[in-house]
Amino acid sequence: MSVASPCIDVCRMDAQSGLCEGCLRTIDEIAGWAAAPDERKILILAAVAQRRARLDALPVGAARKEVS
Amino acid sequence: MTLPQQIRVLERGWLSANNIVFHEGAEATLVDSGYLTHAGQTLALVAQALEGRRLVRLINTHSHSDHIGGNAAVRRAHGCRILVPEGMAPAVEDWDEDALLLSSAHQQAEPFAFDATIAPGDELEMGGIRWRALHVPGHDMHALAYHAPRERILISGDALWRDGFGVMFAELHGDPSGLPAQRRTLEMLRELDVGVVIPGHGAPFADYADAVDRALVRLAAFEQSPERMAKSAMKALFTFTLLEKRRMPRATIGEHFSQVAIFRDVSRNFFHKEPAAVAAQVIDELLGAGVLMEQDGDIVARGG
Ligand SMILES: [Zn+2]
Repeated sequence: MSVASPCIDVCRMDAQSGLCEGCLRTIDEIAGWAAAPDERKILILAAVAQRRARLDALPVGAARKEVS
Repeated sequence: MTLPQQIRVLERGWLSANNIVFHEGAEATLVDSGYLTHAGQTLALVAQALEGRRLVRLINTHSHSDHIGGNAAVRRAHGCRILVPEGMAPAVEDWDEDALLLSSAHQQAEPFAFDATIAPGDELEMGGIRWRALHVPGHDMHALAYHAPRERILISGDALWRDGFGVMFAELHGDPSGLPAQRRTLEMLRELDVGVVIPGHGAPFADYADAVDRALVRLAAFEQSPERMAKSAMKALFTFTLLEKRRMPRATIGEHFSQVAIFRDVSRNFFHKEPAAVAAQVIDELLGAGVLMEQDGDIVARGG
């Protein structure tokens, strides 16, 4: 409960990357969020940050499938 | 704080309400279906949470767009029955976009058919657990919550969150029965034995008595100051709009407030101001609180 969800209400899955376009989580990570212990939530947030960094490093217009 | 194994909470955000999947042997029940534009992700999440079970029922807590928006898509995908609180049935049957607060608040949902209604006091079984439907008017005058007395779980919809409750729509539309109803609802809820709440928005939580107290404090502030209630509602509703649109040119928002009934009427009836003036104030407060941001002349939702 102390770890806040990264959802930003975009809530649309990218078919190629399998990630939510808003919070960059997989369906598994979103579906399991509420029941996940804090340690797992922190790991998911770390993975999201990594995905975000890789996405930001891509040239503008590059396909999102590079990130998964 | 743990929930029984057979209850899977799909925690969503604000534009989509939480979805709850109950495992029932080879079958399953779903409570609430999220917002229309999120239906694709809702279907994917529900499919994941079913773990191979067949979805046979969809049950709603109340008729708002963030709770019913995916009903039609869920039924198309699963062929399940849909059960709604009896008070909201006429509006759904006639697809009355005003009564459903769609057109008046510039929100969307897809019409759906339902198979049965649930009345206050009805008992139902979900996930092998007995639940009683409780009438929780206030935020929505026909809303139901579902309480499992033995397991001490409450599905509260938007009648009670960890920190507050949903917007008082009746009041905003000039019907003064909303706040008294919300008070009766919170006083009724305070007497319930609850260990875990699954709210319509936000994570499930355990500190029930504290949450009810916080809601009562908030309600008392609204009872003392209708303007405060209206201001808080305008901020919540405009944030909802931006979460859907993601960004709006700042220069167009005054016009938006003039055109959308709930913003226009509340501006005039509660603040006695032109909608554009109220819009400017609402935007400034949301920017100040960091809820929204300004980028290249646009007001944008958090996360862009
Ligand atoms: Zn609601």
